[in-house]
Amino acid sequence: MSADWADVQLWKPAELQFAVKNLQKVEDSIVELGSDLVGAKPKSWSGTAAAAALSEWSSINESLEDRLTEIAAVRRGLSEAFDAATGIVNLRDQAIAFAEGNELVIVDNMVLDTRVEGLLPRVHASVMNHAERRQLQDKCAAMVEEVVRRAGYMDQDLVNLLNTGVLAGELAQLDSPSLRAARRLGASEGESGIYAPPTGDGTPDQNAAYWNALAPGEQAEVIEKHPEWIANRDGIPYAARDQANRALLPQYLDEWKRKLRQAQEERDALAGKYFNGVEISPEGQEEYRRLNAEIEQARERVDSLGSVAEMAQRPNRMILGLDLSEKRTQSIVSVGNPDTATHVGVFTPGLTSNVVGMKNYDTQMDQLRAVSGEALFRHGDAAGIEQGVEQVATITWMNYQSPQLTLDSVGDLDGDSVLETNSAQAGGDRLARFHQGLQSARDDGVNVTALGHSYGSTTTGYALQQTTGVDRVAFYGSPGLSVDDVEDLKVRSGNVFYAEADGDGIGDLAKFGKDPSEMPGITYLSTDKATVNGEELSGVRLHSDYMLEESTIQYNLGVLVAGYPEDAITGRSNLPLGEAYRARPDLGRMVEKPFGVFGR
Amino acid sequence: MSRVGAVKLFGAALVMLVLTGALAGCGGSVLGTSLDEAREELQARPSFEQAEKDYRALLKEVQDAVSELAPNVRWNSDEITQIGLSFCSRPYADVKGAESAIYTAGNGGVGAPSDEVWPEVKAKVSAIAEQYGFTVGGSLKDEPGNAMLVLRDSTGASLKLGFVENTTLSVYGSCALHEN
Repeated sequence: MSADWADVQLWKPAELQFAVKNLQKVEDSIVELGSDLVGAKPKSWSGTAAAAALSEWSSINESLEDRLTEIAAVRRGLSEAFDAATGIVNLRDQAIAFAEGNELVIVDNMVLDTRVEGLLPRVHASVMNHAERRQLQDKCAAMVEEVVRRAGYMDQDLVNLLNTGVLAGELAQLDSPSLRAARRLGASEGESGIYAPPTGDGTPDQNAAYWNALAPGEQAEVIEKHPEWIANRDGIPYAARDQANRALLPQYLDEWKRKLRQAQEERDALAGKYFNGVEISPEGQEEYRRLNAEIEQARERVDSLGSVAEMAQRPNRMILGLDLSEKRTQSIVSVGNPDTATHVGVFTPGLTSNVVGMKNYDTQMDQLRAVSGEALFRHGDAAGIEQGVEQVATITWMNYQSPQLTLDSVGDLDGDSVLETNSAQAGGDRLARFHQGLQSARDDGVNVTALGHSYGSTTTGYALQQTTGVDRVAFYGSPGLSVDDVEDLKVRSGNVFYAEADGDGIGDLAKFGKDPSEMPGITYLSTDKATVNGEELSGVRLHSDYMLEESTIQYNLGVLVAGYPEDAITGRSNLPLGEAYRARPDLGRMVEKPFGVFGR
Repeated sequence: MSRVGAVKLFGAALVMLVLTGALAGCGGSVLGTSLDEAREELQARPSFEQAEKDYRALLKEVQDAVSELAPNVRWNSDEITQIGLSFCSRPYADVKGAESAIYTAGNGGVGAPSDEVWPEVKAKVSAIAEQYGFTVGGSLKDEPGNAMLVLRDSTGASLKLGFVENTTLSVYGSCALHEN
């Protein structure tokens, strides 16, 4: 019989601990008794009676060993059940408090929303209210489900131990050379495996609930023995993900360096045969091509892992993701701690971005964090600048296959070509999960700003069509946000910002949705030069200039991440291309596709 | 290669050509300075350590000037502290031994210059900054009760002085090579 929500309401882990202590005492008594029994072993006595006594002595000794094995196993099982029950009861209490704080009610294993929130499908604010309520309900439901899931596993572990190990006599059949050995054996047999996370990726809410149901010792065990379980799992606290990725990084690096060496040696051997006049068969040529591809792949891995390793050594960096399952390495690196930051900016780069070149973005995020931290202090929301900076985390989210400017990539229309939305859609799903994870991993509110540049703005657009909890979004240099109407993004009205430099042709493509420069409901951020006093500060001119250190847009993004949109310097810096064309009837035909070659 | 494949390849090459021109270095090293050129440029600049000394001296002098003209601003400390340390941006991102850092004065000043005294503060700070080579720039924002002055030197380092309720004074250092 598995436990359910109602059962867990009655659980008192302290009683398990009490039982563990008592069993420990019993074990000690048996060991002591065993010592006495050694003294009672017949030594200088012979004859039939002596043989019978010795047989009885051996039987008693063996019985003691069997019982000790069983008791030690049960004690270990109960001890682990105590850890599990403590985690379960903690999560149970969290779920109850969360429900009470959010007008939710837990009935049996279900979560009901007691707030009447009518859904008016055409009213954006209503859609947002409804989505946010649903998000709260889902989070609470995941906690309840995890309480029941873990309670079921724990219950089953104990049932197996008692039924199979003790009552069916399996433990008694194990031989031990001594009582001490029997005790060790029992303790080992009573150990249950490490409790695994939900199968597949799990939802961020499920993953957060899983983690919160683990006792601190269990969490440490997962990080140490199974870092791969949590390294990329959205919903798990970021400090744990960072530890897991830092543990995996050198293993991955060693593995791929070895693969690179091996492939190079094999290819060189093949090439050596050719140069020595041996004719290479078609199979050999195929093998040569395969090895070259392997070398290219391994080199990408070694270079990108090296780049992550360098970033990991910088102060305040956290490695939140490291994924080698795709063609190019994917990673997520934060400057600052998203577990504790009050303000988080998540930047998604676009075309040509990759982990090998990620250090450039990391630098931009370091500066953006400082700009945001200073803004928090200027507004009196931090005690000092250092404290303000500590309150901010800025993340480079390079966790998708962003298109590359290579023939292979551009021509791969079914894959990651910049001409198609495949990468943006797949990346958008992942990015949405990452944002959802920010809400799931934390109990307190965190102010989140999404930032999307170039093709990364399209990816961000896809992500924000889902409910993510993002407070505001700034797109810049966008070939399209994946939508034609800003209200198709699940972000509160008035919190969508767009910047486009006057020399940025990519921003006028309107390839993946309407040109954001022409989309009602968006606030336009200035990319102009600062007011001139002598010479000019750099304004943003081109598609790649947006994060120049002293640019207006860096200031703008910084104050947005800090949550002060009213501080942003607004205004259009470019003439909307479509409007310009429409103003000239002779060019009006070009409005639909300014670059015909980019046809969908 | 099939005809469709050839057309695709041609299209991809054409798109690459257009994008390469449009991006001019977006995200990757499509165009730009070579690693050797980047290193040479950095070698012509003051070292990281020398630049840090200069930034600290500049911040201290500006901090004193602000205190003199706006005595209501109370600095959280007398220290100049580093609040950011990172790699360099492109084109210096891959130059070994190069870094950029961010420094702030007094961990921020509680309080702000009044709107009346702000023009004088700006003028004084601009004059001090000019002596350190921060000659380019001006007001990024200049509204009553909310201002941001940004001055840049020839290497791209920026001095930023701004206020709303409180005052921030920082240098966003440019890329520089360490001496060792």
